[in-house]
Amino acid sequence: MNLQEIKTIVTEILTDKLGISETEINFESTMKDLGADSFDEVEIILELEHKFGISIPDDIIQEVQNIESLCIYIEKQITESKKTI
Amino acid sequence: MIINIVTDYIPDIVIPNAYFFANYGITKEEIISKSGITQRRRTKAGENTNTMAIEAVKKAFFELPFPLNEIDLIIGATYTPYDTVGTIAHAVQKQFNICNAKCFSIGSSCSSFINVIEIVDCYFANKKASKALIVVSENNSAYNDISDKTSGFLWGDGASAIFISNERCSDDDLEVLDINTTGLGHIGKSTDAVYLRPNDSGIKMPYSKNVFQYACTYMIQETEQILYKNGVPLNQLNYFIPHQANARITDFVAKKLNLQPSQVLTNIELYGNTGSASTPIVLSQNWNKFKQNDTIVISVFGGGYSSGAILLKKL
Repeated sequence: MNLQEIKTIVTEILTDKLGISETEINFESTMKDLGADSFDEVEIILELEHKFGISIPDDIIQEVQNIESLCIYIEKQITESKKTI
Repeated sequence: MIINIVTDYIPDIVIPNAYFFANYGITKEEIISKSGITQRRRTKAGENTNTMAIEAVKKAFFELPFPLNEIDLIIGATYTPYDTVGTIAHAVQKQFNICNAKCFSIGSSCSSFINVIEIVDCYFANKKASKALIVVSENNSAYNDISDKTSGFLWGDGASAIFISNERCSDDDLEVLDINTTGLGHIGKSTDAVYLRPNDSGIKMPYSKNVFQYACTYMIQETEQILYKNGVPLNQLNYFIPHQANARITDFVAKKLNLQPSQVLTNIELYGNTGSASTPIVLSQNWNKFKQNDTIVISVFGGGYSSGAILLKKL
C-alpha cells in the first residue's frame, strides 16, 4: 500500500469520525486542528489499527507533527509488519 | 454454575454535573462530552464499602435462593476498601453470622467481578464449595480526588451482592456458560495509567488515553472470543453489559461489535463509574428484563491492566 492509498483511507476515517468534509482536511494539520478531542484521537487510532492491521501506541499522536507524518508512520509500520511476516 | 440472584445498593446522595461547574469550573457539557455522565451517587456519613455491601445482601432477603447459613464461600471485591485488614467479605460474614464459609477478598480493580466468578468456578469444580456469596462494592468518594479535572467527575459509589450455587434454585436463574480473564500488566501504561496509592491524593488517571485505547481493544476482543468459543453469533446475543467506565468507551465498543442500542445495557449516565461493582449493578437492575434462553455477555477492563468476559444464559 502506497502513501497515497493510506492518505485516502485516513481521510475516510477522519471525515467519518469528525463529521467534516474531505476539503477540510489539510495534511499539514493536527487532529486537534480538525476538531478532535483526546478521545476522538484514540478512537481514530483504533480505527486505523483495525483498518491497516497494525499496532499504534496512543502517544504517537503527540510524537507525529501532523496528519502527513501520521500517514508516513503508518506506511512505515505496514512495511515493517510485512518484513516480520 | 448458576447465578441465582443479583441485587444492588446505590446510595441516596446525588452529585449532579452542576456541582463540578460550581466548584471547579468544569461545565456539564464538558463532562457529558468526555464521559456521558450526567450525575453520580455518593455515600453519606456513616456509609462505606462494607455497609453498602451489607445493604446489597439485605435486598436479597425476600428472595434468598438458599439460607445464608448454607453459604460456604464468601468472596469480596473492591479497590476502595473501608478496612484493608478486616475485608468486605469478613464484614458480611460477621454481619450475617455465616459460620461455615471460607472468606476472603480480592482486588483486580474494575475487572474484579469476573475474576471472582472465575475463582468461584474453580472452588465449585474442586468441590471446595457449592454455595457462594460474592459482594462487590466501591466507595470511590472516599478515595477520589474530586478536584481532579481529568477524572474527578467520573466516579460513583455502589455495591452488588451475587448469590451463586452449583444447582438451580428458581425460574429466575442465570447459567454461567463460560468465563475468561486475562492479565495485562505487561502492556501499555498498565500500572501507571490508573493508580490509587496511600498518601497520594486519591485515584489518579494520568494516562486516560492509554486506558481508553486498551479498554476498547480488550473489551471487544474478550467479547468476540467468548462468543466464538461458545458458538454464539454476535447477532444472536441478546444483551451486552460492558464495564461502565465511560460512555465514550461503551459506545465505541458497541459500535465496533455492531450491536444495536437495545442490546447494550448501561447505567453510567446516572451512576458514573462504579468500578468493579458496575457490571453486577447493571445486571441486577435489568434482572427482570431477561427472558428464557436469552444470552448475555459481560465484558470488563480494569486498571493495572486486566480484562475478562462472562457468557450467561437465562434458564
